[in-house]
Amino acid sequence: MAVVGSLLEAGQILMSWPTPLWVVVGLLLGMIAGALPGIGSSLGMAIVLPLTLPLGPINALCLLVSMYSGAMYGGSIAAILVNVPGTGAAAATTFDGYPMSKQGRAVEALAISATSSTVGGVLTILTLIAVSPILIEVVLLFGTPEYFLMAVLGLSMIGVVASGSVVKAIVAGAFGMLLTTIGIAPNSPELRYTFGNLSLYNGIDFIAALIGMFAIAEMIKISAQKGGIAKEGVDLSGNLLDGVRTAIRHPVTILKSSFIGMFIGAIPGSGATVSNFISYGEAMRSSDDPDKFGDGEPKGVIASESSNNGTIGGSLIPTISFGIPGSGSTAVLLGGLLMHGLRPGPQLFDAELATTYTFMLALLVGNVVIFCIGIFLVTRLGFLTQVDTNYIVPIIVVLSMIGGYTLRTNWIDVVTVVGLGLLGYLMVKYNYSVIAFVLGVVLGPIAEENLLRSLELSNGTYSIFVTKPLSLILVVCILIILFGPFVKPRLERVLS
Amino acid sequence: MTSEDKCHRIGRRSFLKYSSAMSALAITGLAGCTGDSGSGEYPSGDLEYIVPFSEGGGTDTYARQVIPEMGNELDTNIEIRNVPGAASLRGTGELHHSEPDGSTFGGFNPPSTPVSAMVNPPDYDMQELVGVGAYARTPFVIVANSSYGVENMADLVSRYQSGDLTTFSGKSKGGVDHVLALTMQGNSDYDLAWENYVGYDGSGPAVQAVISDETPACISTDTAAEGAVSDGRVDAVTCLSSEGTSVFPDLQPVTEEDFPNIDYLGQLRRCMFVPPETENNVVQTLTGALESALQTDAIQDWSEETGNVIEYGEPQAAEDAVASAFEQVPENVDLDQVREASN
Repeated sequence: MAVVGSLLEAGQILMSWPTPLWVVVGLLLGMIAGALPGIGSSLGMAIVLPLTLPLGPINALCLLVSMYSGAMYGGSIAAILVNVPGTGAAAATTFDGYPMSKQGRAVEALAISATSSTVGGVLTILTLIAVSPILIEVVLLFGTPEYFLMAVLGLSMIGVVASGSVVKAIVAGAFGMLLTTIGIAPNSPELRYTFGNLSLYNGIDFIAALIGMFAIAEMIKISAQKGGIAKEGVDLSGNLLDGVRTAIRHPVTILKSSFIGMFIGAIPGSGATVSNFISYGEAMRSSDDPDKFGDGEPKGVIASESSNNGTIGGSLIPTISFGIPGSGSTAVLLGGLLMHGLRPGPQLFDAELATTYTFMLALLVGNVVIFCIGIFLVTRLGFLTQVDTNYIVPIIVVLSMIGGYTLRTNWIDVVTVVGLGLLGYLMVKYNYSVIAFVLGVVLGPIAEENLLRSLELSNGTYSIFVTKPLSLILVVCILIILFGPFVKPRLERVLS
Repeated sequence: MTSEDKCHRIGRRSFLKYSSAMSALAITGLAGCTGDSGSGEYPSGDLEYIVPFSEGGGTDTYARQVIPEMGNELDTNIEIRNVPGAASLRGTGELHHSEPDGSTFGGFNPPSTPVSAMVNPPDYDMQELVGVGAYARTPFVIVANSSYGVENMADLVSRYQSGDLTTFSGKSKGGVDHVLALTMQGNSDYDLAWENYVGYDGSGPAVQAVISDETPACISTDTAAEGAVSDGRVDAVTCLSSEGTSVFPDLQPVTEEDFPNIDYLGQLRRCMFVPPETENNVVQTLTGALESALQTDAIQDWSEETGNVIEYGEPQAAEDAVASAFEQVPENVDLDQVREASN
């Protein structure tokens, strides 16, 4: 009964003026921050954080979580329209969202993104409200060996998501991993390929790599194209209701991706970037027609967008339970909790339960607002795909450079944006998988760090990866993904 | 002269005209950026504060509270710029290489940043930085999984000596936690006989590893351990600062159990610095602003509400904190061993 009472109290607080205003303001600010490459939710939230002091704890936290949620969705807008993933969480959205734009289906893609984000966000927040005390126990089952195996699971998706030559995909993925070895080694102060340059100590920033690979490479490609991004002659009047219907017609993909997002979001250090790749890979793996992915398949957008909004619910679990932020955004959110006198821990589920439920409900309501803004306002941006490339290309190139520099105020990131932009262009031209490369860049450091730490924990014994039931399940999943395509037809032949 | 040539000439003239105007604007803008108009008044323009860590961390959180108040005191705008990377050596290096005109100042936390510099020496001398003052103190604590029922530091030491416990953890190898762990292992008065140090990417992940019993005990900042301790899944064992911790007021400092004082490593002293050779009047102005800012109602209320301790220290305290780390760490820890143990 205490839970129901707290929920009702939270509902009343949320609906009392001016809290709804701060939710909407947070969402709009988040969408803008998310749509701009290099800004993202964590920097946007950090800038706003000190300004929330006069607002009081409830309004401040509603503003911050709404920014977080808005940025997750906002990242998809630029990803779909101009192939620029505003945040790492929207990287997989470019794979099919941008091809849809080129086909004149930007409005549909934006509607799919808004619907999937909303449904994914609502589902996972409802789950969080219902079973948060149990979820924390699940999160604690994940230790260093399981983090490593999750990263390997993601890397094994290279074989699934890469079209064309598998050997070229593995080469691209391995090269991505190799680039991440630049900088201070993850488990020791050993310097690798830094040449005494402090700017290289922290290696290549993966967001800069994503901006280069997607935005710059695409701008090079379309710079010679006449007209806009959408092919000439295509009809842009796509019905946005089609997008909503398309998303709703794939409930399994939405459900699966949302909960993959929530699950991975709860693991510190992984977050939305990893989850949207794994969800995309899983949607492709389980599809009857995986060849359509990468050419404007709506299920690709659905998988990526429902999973990245799903991560928000997951990432709140360790943050509010133990004060352990799993990402930059949750670190700022934690700063907001502390700044307003709320201590993470059991009291947030006891004496402060109404406050906790208020910002969870704010996320819930925020997702509905995202749907409305997404459908009725953002879809109107579809015209951007018709703007002449003579205007679009310089704007995106400048925004990408500024975004690269803003990440860490490090010129190495600008060099990364340009260098990997050129590389990305060549990779596409010669059919090397960009997705495989990105998976290597994103998951390589997670795999390396957790492999070495696992071996430290086990004194060098590899059996640490199969001793716990959870790690064993993950090993089996990896084997199925790697060898399933070879074994399945043979098994079917034998059985028939 | 063809009409095309004429167009080109006009174009060049226009270009020269506009570029001159732009140059004048740029020079004016740059003059504003230097913060020194030459009139002798300080500050005469906007200032910049370098945080050598990412947004959302402890240093950034403090900066976003204290710096605007300092701006109010100085009646100027202070931009906060995060320059993370290289275990805070990059941002600190940028501060060191900045013009010593007071337009740029920054903050870092001895002994953490000096330890990073001792393990991987950068191309500048951190001890040349001029102290503005200290504004806070963050003690380190040791926490253990509550299933072990560790009572205090002496109990923890005996568990490691008996072999009941073997693995100890904290932040990444080569950092201040690792150096602390090695100090307590190598110092015969502590004799914390751990066999295996496992490094994590921050105090938060280290505490989570202790909660899930991946490792039995770890070093953490007091604030990072607070949630887990109040949840009851981990126990606070000891405070490594002799001055104790306001987060766990009942927790016994390690010195009260008759272990030697290791304050040069056992607490982060949050300090502000300006580049070498900065004039004394600039330092005094910033110090005055810092001291006044820390006394404002806004900062005092924030400190009270959040438990983020505010403690003003003279400029000398900031410089001493750096100097003491550079003196005492090599005396007590074999830095080659730190590097070797890390590889």
